[in-house]
Amino acid sequence: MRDPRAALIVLLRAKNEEIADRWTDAASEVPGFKAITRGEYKVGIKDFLSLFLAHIEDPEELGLHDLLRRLAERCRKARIPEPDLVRGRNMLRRILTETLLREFAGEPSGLAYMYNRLDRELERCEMLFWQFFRRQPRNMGQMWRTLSEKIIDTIPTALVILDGNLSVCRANERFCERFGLDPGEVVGMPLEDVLPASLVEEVDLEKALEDMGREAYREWRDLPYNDGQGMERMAELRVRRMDVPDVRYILVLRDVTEHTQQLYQLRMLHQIGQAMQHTLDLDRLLHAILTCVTAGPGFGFNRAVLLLMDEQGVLEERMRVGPGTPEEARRTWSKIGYKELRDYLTASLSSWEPQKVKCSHLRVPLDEGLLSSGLLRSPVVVRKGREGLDPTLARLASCSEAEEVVVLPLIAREELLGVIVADNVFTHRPVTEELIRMLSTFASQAGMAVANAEAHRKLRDAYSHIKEAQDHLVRAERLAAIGEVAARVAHEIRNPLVSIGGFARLISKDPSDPEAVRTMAGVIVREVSRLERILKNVMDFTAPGHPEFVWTDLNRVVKETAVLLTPEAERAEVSVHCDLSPGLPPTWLDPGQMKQVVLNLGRNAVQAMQDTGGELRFATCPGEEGLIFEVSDTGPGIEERELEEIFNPFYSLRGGLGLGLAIVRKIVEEHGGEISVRTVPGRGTTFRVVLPLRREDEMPGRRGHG
Amino acid sequence: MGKRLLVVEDDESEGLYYKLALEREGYTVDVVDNADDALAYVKENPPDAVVLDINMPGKDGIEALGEIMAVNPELPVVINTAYSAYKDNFMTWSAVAYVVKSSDISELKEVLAKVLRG
Repeated sequence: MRDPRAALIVLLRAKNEEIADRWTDAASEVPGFKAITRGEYKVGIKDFLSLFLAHIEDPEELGLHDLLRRLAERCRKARIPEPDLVRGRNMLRRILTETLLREFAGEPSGLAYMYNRLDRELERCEMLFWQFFRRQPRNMGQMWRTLSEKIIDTIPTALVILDGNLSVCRANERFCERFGLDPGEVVGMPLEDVLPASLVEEVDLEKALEDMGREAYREWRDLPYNDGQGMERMAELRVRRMDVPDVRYILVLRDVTEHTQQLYQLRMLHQIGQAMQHTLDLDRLLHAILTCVTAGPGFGFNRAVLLLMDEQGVLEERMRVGPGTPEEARRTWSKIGYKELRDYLTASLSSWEPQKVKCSHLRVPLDEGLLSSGLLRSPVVVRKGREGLDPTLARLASCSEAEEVVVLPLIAREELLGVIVADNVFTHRPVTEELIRMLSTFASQAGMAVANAEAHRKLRDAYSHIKEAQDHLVRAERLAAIGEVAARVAHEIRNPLVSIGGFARLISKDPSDPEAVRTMAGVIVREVSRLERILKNVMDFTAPGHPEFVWTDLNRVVKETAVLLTPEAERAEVSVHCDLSPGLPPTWLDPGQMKQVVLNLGRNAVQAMQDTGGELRFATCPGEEGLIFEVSDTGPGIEERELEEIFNPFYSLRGGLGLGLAIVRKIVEEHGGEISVRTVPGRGTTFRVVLPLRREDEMPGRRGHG
Repeated sequence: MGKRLLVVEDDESEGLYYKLALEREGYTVDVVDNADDALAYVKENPPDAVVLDINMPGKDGIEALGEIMAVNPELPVVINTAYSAYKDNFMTWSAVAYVVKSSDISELKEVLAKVLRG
């Protein structure tokens, strides 16, 4: 069979015995089939096939049509096709049966077919059953006894038939099994005694039944109820009202707890998986993972412990969740429903209360052998006391006092990150293969999420180390800088202090000569203003005010400053030239600070030509990158090795504090500009400042200063 | 006629101060503000003693000391600097004395008196 969705099993006592036997073998493990094969039904293969096809809504879609045709051909040749049912055995477990009855005209016919569309087929199974009763109301007598009991017991769902007084007139084995009733005594019992009270109340069943019209049909899906043993279950209930004596209501009750749980688990797996990948807080994530493993609507384990591998290869317990006693367990589980779990998990992934964490700090060293043996590659069920149990697995299992635990490795990128040990110490629910499969999927998602969170944590740690080291460096550097400042300042104020102190002493010793006193006092005044200048420089550099920008004519700033410099320049036999481009656009700058720039650059230029005399030239012009302002001298130039240093604070070419160019650079950068220097030995040096050209309409404020 | 001193000091105010203060002690004082002028002075017109600053732009006092010693090994040179750290520089050991600058020049006066007595 190509189509894995479809598995066909024919069970009939037909003319060809062989067919029946062979097919029965293949189907023997499916409950409900034997009942039919044992029946006295006879039908021709042709009838059967046509009958069968009539009940397949869309045989092409199910991939059955071809199969049936081929089957029919082969049957005629009395040859049995080799069915793929053996190969399909694993699938059989998930496939449910459907019982079909048709053409009940004296001679009963039987057919069972099955495939894995559980919901739809069950529904149809039940519909056919309804139809059977509706069509054959007058033929009930004998047929009822010979057939319906078998049918009723064959249907793979709990079925109960009520009379007009809402008392049981028939209930199938599954029904009795499900609700713990004695099949011998169930007939005649009132409805409220056979169905769980919570279920009857949930939909107000008695009233709902009485309100049903003739031949009405009603169904309730996802009906929560308590099974009387403290466990939340989920049911689907279908009711049809018949017009047959004794058979007033047929109730089919299907337990969809497992099914809903599986669907839910799948959906939850997906949702939680998504959420987990984005959760970088490790503790929060671990708690979410354990909640998934333990919550009833999740994987439903009673308790779970999570251990993470540390750097020494030791599995260390990080967290455990789960109730301590069966009573607490019952309380916890009945509290958390499907929706609640999802809300709870979403909330716990975003908000986190660490006090919920229980942890006993168990440590399990892993030996190399176990890691390489592949034992911890996928979820494994560990039964204690079994012979030949790996000692590490045994130690892990000792996290719990349960006889059976599941050890669920968390793996990401082929690396074991940790394990979850989960048990069912209170409910003793066995661990099914299906559950293991889903756990395995879950574990790989959880593993990736843990790996992400771990990587994030490592990055964060590394970052904080780097930050620490950097802070340390910055502190050390700042201290060094402070030391340098102190040394510079000390040196600079030493000379004026010696002069001031010395002259003050001379005056106080002999103030008789007014002329001499005046000279000496003049020196003191001069030296004090020198001290003040030094201090101002230091303060300008260490705590300069923020620039106060206004729209300014740069040429005007340059011109005014050039005038200030001229006396100093003339003393050094330096001529000052201004080469300013007319009509420059107004520039967004702090005129006071820009004057300082022009002054410092100009003064440096004059000092460079102190011994030789020369030309100091200021120039402005518009450039591509912005406004260009240049200060050039014809001095000796600056040596290349010094070029890299000159903008550094406290680097001085000619004595002094060495702050002039540092202040210039700082101001230019605060204006968003750049400063560069080019020098030709013996020919001179040019400093070039480029200020960003801003249009007046893109900046706030009005035009000022010209 | 008092003894003749040469003060080598790049700071103008300080130079003036040493000149006035030492002249009051009866010395005849000339001041130059750099090492080259000091060497030329010593060659042409050897003073009785030299008071030498170390921290100067261009050639510093230690270099100047070496050159002066080469021209006139007998000439007493007193180092007068703001920093005591240069004492560690063995070049300074050829000076007759090492005085740390202060506005109080009594130490300098004592040293000069002692040096010039002999």
